[in-house]
Amino acid sequence: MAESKPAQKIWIRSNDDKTFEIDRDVGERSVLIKNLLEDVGDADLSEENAIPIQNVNETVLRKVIEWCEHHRNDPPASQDEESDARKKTTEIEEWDQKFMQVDQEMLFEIILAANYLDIKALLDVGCKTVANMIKGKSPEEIRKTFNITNDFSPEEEEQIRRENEWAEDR
Amino acid sequence: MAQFSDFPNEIIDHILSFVPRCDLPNICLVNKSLQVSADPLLYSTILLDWHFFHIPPIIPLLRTLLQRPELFAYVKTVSLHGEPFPSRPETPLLDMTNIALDDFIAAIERTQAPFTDYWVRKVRLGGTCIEALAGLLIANLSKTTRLAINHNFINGRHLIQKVLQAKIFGPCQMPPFSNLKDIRYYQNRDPSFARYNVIFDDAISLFYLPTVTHISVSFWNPEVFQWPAGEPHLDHLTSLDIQWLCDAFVAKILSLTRNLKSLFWTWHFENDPDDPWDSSTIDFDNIVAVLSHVKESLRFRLDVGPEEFEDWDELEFTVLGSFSGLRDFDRITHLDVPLTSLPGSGPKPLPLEQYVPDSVEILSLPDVAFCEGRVTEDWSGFGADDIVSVIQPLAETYPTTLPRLRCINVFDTKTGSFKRDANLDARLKEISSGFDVQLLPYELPGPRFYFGEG
Repeated sequence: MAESKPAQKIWIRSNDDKTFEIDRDVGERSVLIKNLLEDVGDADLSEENAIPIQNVNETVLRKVIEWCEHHRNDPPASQDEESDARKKTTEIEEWDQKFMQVDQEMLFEIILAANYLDIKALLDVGCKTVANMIKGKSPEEIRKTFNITNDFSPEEEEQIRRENEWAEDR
Repeated sequence: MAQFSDFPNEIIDHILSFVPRCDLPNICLVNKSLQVSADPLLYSTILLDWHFFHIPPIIPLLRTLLQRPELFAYVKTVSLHGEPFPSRPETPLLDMTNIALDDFIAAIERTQAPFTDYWVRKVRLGGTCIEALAGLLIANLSKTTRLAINHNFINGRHLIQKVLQAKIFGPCQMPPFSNLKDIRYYQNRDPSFARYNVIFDDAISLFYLPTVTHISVSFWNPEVFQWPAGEPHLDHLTSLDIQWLCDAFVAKILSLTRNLKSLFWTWHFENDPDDPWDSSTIDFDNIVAVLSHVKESLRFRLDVGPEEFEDWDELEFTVLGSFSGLRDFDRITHLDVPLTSLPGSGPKPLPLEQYVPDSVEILSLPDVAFCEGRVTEDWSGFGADDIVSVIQPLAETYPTTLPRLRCINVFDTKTGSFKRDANLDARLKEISSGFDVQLLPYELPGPRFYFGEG
């Protein structure tokens, strides 16, 4: 008979040596952590033996854990949408929108962490947030927003404009 | 801290996948790295809309694709769509002034198709040569997975058909469709305008595309059905939408399929004197025989009905046979057939046990009567007694007769809402036993025959 147990704890450590104690199901929102846990026996889980999260610092990891805790009971993501199908929506639920109201560097760090930890839903929310910042902007406005250097010559720019002229139809 | 430029390509690609198409041209202009990421998305979908007030931008599109032929490999979805023009002579003309035709002509000649001279002549004529240019686009597609060509682009546009045939059968130097999954090649349903231009050979040749899983195609019935290059292998086909092909010819196609999961078949019984196979005789036995070719692979949903009820009153037709053959189709889960009648007996519902298979879970019974001759204007649907008399015996024998039945929907087809008989709903509720019976307002069915996954 399965008996109800208190939530099993795991420990993860940021790259600046801060250890977090979290519920296992929260940690398992990350496919990377979930796979690691499958290879580690329960006996080997301890605070001293915390799982190192090499690419993520304390501030960002704290933020990622906050997201995972809020979304701990979400149903698993549906798989296999056609890879080349354009995503239909950039809608973001309200809690996630508030969660993503951070400065741009933090937003980018969260996206990189979600990518590294393999948390698809968080990666989607981060990428949608960036996509919404791009929507409706001119090339120059996009460059300004994200501090991107223009490496085209004026002639190259003119050439690209001409190449994509057909897409302005509608 | 992180910069936009720190993102690996896969993250950039993921971000851009959420950006609307209309923003992609601007993204291409931001910097070289973003252009590399945005190009495949910008060129992945090409939608060319051609109607009386709109000429699609095919010239600038082809100019770019021929200058950067590597872009053809990004093109995954192509839709050549256009509403029919009011009449052919008024076809809007392409402005060909200041167009360097040499690139287009060289590209046509490179295809080494047997009809390049004709093709080049068409392009040199300019004006109405959209089909010649659309043909050049199709000629160069290789990785495309979805291709839709319809209405204006088919209507008498023989060049596009020639290109498709050359790509399918050769000989030519056009890349074959290596990954085409979904092809849609059809006209709208206005018979006075469209279907005479749908040539049987053009439509049937699509069945030789070796990778497609879905075909939508409209036909014009030939005198004789003949496969142009021997019987094709159709094991890859899982979904089929056929318009205007008569039952005997549909059977020839279905007999070659092994894995069909969805079939959508529209056939009109309107006694068209120009169609050698159209008649005003509906033979249900024949229809059941056609479907029997796919009864092992298809999980059926079968809907039969008039396209529009206004038309229904004016039709005169002869009904032969019955749906009783459906009893053997043990994979039908959803059945939507009229409360039909046997030929010659006038409007009278057919007993369910004569045609409903054991496998049916949801049974829908619009009160349309197929009977011999015209449905008279003063016939106002089956009465409550008729409907109850059909369902009552089932309530007594359930679950032996239809063990999987969950629900019977009875529709009021005449008023669109159930005003007809206030007591009917209560009487139906009384006789339901183990399954639900609902009296519902009826929505017009789209096609005459729809067979799909339940």
